[in-house]
Parts: sequence; structure tokens; C-alpha cells
Amino acid sequence: MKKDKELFNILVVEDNQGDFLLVNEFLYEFIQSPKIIQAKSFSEAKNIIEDNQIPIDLILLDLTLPDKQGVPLIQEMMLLAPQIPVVILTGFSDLSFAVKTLSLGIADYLLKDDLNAILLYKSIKYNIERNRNMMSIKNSEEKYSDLFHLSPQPMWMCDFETLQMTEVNKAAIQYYQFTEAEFLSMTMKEIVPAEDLNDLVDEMTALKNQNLSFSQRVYRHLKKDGTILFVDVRLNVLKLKNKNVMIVLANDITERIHYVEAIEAQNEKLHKIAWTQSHVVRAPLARIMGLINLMSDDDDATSPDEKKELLKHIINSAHELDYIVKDIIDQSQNIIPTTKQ
Amino acid sequence: MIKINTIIIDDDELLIMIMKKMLVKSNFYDSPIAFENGEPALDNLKLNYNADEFYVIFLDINMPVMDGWEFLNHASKFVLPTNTLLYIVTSSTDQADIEKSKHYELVTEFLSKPVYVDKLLKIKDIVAERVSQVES
Repeated sequence: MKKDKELFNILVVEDNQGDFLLVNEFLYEFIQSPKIIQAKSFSEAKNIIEDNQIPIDLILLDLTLPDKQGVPLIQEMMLLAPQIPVVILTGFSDLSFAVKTLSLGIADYLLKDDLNAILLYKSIKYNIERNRNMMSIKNSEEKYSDLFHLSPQPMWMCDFETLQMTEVNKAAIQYYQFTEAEFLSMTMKEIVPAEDLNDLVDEMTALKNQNLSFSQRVYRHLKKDGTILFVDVRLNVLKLKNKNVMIVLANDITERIHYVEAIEAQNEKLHKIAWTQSHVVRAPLARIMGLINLMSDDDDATSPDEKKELLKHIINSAHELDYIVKDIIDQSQNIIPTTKQ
Repeated sequence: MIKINTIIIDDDELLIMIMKKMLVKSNFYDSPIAFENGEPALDNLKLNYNADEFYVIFLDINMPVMDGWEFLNHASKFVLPTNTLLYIVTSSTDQADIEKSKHYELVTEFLSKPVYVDKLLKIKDIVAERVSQVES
């Protein structure tokens, strides 16, 4: 078997020099260049770990040290280095004790009498690997938890049946201004104005009846101080620990709604102006068109004096039209949106 | 021979003048009578309306005192569509106004200002046809 080329930093906590040398020898048998650090007592081990100079991958721990032994030693060690796998080396053969140490968080339990190089190597290799995997799972769990808690978008989880809030993120707390404790004592119904409650009931009924897992609609929600917010609420129903829960995402569209309302009001204004103006503009224009038509006829029915009269009317109507157009320009200056913040 | 009355109801004097000249050019019937809004027109009709005569009415919509719609409301009570052609003449036409006018049996058509000679000649033809129907 080829020697493992990976770099291992192993802390051997062992006061018995003979045992230490034996472990040392076993380690070199399958590992190319292990970094072995020896501590002869718990306090020495503590210093090395707390010093944090070398990232320790695994601790081999003898259970009878001069300053600490047995269960208290294990407990202290777990507190000291919860992220490092600890493998116990002991001459003490007691199965029930071994099981107990495992429940305290020990990675493995090896008997010195049965120890050989391959057994030690396998235990070290396996436990380091397992620890790495567990760490990466923990990291990704933290990452997902952060995604929820640190998301800038208000989110919460609640029970699908009772709508009782079970978890709420920082953005929601900030946005709705309830404290976390207040939030968690509420149901989702309490942030919906009484007159809109039927909307929520309808949505839940639809989800249940059609067995859907996703739903979206715009709600009015209440802040703690009673302010009305417009929110685009998207929710997902999922099974968590055999219970139906909902993850709810609330997107604030209050400003957007106000903006759309302002634009609609403005459009209405514009529509009115366009309509009245078309009437007003069309009146002198209709006159001009009629007058020109009368003047341009080939027949001699219209006398030169009459034509002069018609021309005067055309000029007057043209002036009127000009005045009206100026007025429209003035009016359109007044339609610039006033709601711009 | 049936008497044909031409009535113009418009608050724009100049447009009445233009309309009158157009009517002259198209050899429209006897000289038209003009009113500046619905009220005097209605008063006149109430006094002089005769079911045995024929009426061509050019009615503006936007007018002070009594507008075109109000005039229609009143006139519809006694002016018969059988001996009357009523044209609504406006400077610009809203689709909503056209829809509204469909509720009045009296309204013949919507016209946009100015009304030109060729349109008046067509109206003349219609009048002639209608009058001959009444006479026979």
C-alpha cells in the first residue's frame, strides 16, 4: 500500500512516552509525512489548541492524563475543540464506557492493546473525511439560513393550517416594525386588514382545493402603526417535519402602486385636455376651412367685397387658433407629475 | 307642395354665416332660420311646428343656455322623425356622442363642421325623396 501523501496535522495527547512512540511509528507507516504534535497533559493540549498556530485535523486522546481523566477530560476536550474530531486511545476495555464516550461526541474509540498501523490510519482517515463533510454541510446550512435571515426581502414561515408565524427574517421585522417576538405570537391574518381577510381565506382555500404549492397575489398589509402597505405576496407550501408550512415572500409595491395611480390620474387629465382641446381647436379650424372653400369657388357669385369680408374672417379665425394653441402649451406645462419624490 | 323649413342651431355666428352661404350655393330650399342655442329654436318650433310641413335641422351640440342634447330631449316629444331630417353638426366628434345619439330616433346623421356643398346636395336629394313619399 502506498503511503498517503496528504498533509495531516495530528495532536497526540499522551503522557506515556512508550505509547507515544508506538503511535508515532504506526502513523508513519501509512502516512508520508504526518505532522505530529505531542502534548503530555490536558493543559498542554489546551495551550496548543488555543494558540491556533497549526490547524489541527484530528486529536488522539489518551484517557488517563496527569491533570485530567475519563469523562471530565472528554467533556472539557469537546468544549475546547468542538470542530476537531477526537479519537480516544485507551487501555481501558469497557464497552459501555466506550458507547458513553461516543454519545459525548467522540469520533472513535480505539483500544491500545488492539492497535495497529492500518486500524489507526483507517480511523484517522475516516474521521477527518467525515468531519470535513459535516463541516461543509453545516456551512451550506448556514448559508441557506443566511439567505433567509439576511435577505433584503421580507420573508417568513408559517403553519399552513393555522397561519401561525414560525420564523421571520430581519427584513420583515424592519419592514412591518413588529419585534420578532410579536411576529412569532401572530398569525398571518393579523397583518391583513379585516376587510381584506376574505382574500386570504380564498387564497388558502384555493391552495388546498387545487392542491397547489405556489400562489401569488397582491395584498394590503398592515404595519404595526396601522400604515397600509401594498405587497406582492408569493408563497410556497412545503412539507417540513411532516407538517405543511408556507414560506412567504412579501415584496413592497406601495410606491409602485402610488406611482401607477399618479400616472393614471395624469392620463385621465391628459385625456380630458386632449378632448376639450380638440373641440376648441377644431372650431376655428372648421371656420377657416369653410371660409376658404367659399372663397375658392370658381363661380362669380361671391363679389370682391364679400371676398374681402371672408378674408377678414379667415384672418380672425387664424388668430383665434393661434391663441388657442398657445393656451394648450401653457396648460400642458401644468400636467408635469406632482407625485415625483 | 310641402313647405320645407331649414333650421340652423349654432352659437357660432360665423359658422351660421358659412352654413347659410353653403346652403345658397347648393340651392337649398327657402331661406334658413338660425338660432343661437337650443332654447329659442325650441320655442319657435313649439309655436310653429306643423306635421304637414318638412324640416331639415342642423344642430350643434356644445352651446350655452340649452345644448344640443337638451334640445333633442324636448324636441323628440313632438317633432316627428317622419317629416324631419336632423343632422348633428359638431366641430369634432367623440365616439361617445355618436353612441349617445343612437338613443334619439330623430337624429339622422352626425356631420363634421364645415358642411360642404356636395354634402348639402346629397341631403337635398334625400329631402326630395322623402317629400315625394309624403306627398304620394
